[in-house]
Amino acid sequence: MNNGFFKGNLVDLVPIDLDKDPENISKWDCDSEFKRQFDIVPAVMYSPILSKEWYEAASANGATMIIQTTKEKKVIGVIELDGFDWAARSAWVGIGIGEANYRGKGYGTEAMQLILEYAFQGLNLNRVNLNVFAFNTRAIRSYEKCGFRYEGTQREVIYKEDQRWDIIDMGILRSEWEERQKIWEREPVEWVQAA
Amino acid sequence: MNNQSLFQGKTIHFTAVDPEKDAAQISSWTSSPEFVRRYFDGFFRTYTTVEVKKLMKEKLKKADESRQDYYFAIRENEDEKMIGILHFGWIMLSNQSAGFDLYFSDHNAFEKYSNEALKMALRYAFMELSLHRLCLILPSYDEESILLYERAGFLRETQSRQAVFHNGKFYDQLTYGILRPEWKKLQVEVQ
Repeated sequence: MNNGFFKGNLVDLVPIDLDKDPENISKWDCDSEFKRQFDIVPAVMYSPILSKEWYEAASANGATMIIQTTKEKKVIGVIELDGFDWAARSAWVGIGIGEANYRGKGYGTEAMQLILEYAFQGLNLNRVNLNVFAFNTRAIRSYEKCGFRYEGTQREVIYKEDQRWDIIDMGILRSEWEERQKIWEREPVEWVQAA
Repeated sequence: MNNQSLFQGKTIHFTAVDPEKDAAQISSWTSSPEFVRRYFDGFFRTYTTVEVKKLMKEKLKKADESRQDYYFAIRENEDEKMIGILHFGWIMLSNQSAGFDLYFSDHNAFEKYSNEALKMALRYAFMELSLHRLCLILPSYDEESILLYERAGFLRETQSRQAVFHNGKFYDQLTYGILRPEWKKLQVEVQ
């Protein structure tokens, strides 16, 4: 745990490579399932040039990082901590696993755990929040695993497939995150020593 | 077509925000942490007239280009004095959904004009922008505003714990939302 905030077992969080990554991200744009889970606006294609500009701006404003597998160093997604309120010590987080084969296998969950550790231990935040579309049940399960709690439902925000969809708000407080660390810490330490 | 004006009310009317004319007044509002945090630039400090002018120009230019934000100055009918700002943001026409803020310069203006301003804002949102949903964010300590919006038919939808820091303490942040069918039902009841 002392080799920096951004190193996990399955994934590392690394800076965006503005030359290479926009191309990957443009590829994910063609996956409409991904687009619909990632953003509320109509799914459109962004050119690699515009993608690059967008990520240049995003990484300058907040903490936007690429999720990369530790083993084969594959770029599989993106995670972003932004919207900082330094008086309330709060921020929001957004995450997307663009590579379809890497969904539902714990990669995103670990990336989220890494960014929460960074938020609470590195930036001294008191709270992190997120929005998730109600149809994205896999993501909701992952956020619950990370300790996020349900904080309400914004009704009928999204209008797609001729239907209205809700957005779920979730949040985690520093005190809740710290409680969970106590539970998590015990087992991994013993496991590492045994190995 | 109902030709009742969208912008002219009994006691107030909406106009464009004019950075040249209005900056001095907005600068004076920046001594309120409430105004800066909720409606202006987020980071609480005072802003000079020159800074406000520049910031407002940038905001309005961005709004003109993206068409995702609309700003209205709320002015008294009597003397054109600006007593508040109405801002629609997070406008997503494809989802027929948007957020908004209503700011009043002081308590007196809130008491006098908030009902009419909100009524006009809602009519604009549902009958001109043709939204299905409109929402706003309020801090849990602002009981006066909570009452205003609940009376107008808004429903408390989310409660973000400890998301606001105000006068040395944490408070929750609330999302209030209203859907077009709910608003329309209330219009019939009023008549």
